[in-house]
Amino acid sequence: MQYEELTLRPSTGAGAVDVAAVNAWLGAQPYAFFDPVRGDGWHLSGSADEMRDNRAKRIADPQRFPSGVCVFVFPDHVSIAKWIPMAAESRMFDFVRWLVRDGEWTVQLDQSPPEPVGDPRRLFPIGIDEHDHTVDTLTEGVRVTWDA
Amino acid sequence: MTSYLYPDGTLVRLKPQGDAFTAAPKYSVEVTKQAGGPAGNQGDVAFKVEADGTATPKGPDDLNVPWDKTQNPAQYRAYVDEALKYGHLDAKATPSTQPPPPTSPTPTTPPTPTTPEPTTTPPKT
Repeated sequence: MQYEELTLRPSTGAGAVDVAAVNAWLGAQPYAFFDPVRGDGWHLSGSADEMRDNRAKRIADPQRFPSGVCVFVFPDHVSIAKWIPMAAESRMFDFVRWLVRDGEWTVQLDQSPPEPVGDPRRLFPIGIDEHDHTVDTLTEGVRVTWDA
Repeated sequence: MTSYLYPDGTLVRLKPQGDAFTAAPKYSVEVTKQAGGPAGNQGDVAFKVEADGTATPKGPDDLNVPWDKTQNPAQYRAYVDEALKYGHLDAKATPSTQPPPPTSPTPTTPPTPTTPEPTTTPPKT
């Protein structure tokens, strides 16, 4: 399933997004940072180390976000865009799975008509929910990489 | 973002304010598989078009990247980032004064004249 942007809208209750709760959840993730330039969205990286690098890149070049995943939270919807997300795509999956855990949501892929989210797993490539631990910060041992 | 879908399946996406990742004006020209249908997601796009009219891959999944995403992530990212620039084009801040071409075929019959609206206000009762 190929797309560049997801628009998620709650379709139950008052159709309102709990902006404070979403921002709090994102703020608790070590791989996410709130945009220090425009102050209106989040950026998701694959790891905490990568997040720190990307945040520095964002400050150094305020005209563009580093590649990864951008999340914008609005009162009536959540917009998610990805650009060469790589390991950040599994973080995006974690976020979407958490976001739609309760209640009914619709999803819009790019300019497609909205449709029920159902199982959020279908929005992501096979295996994306198996987090790529090769990008995690090491807690012990030594990482060795080599060219194939 | 404004999208223009043409009868031959050409989809022009114009982003005057940029997108989520850049504030610079952007546009893309894409050829959809759903000619005449509604603009959908990237799965409906066959390929994008470079500024010179050459076809170019629409996204990372259509690229034959010589680097492994896991083993060489920096090389992979740099390759994809550069390759996709050909399909995500920079728009000029000041566009042409000429109007865009119509998004549907030009009607061959003249429009039916309509009755002009009355210009006088009816008296109050």
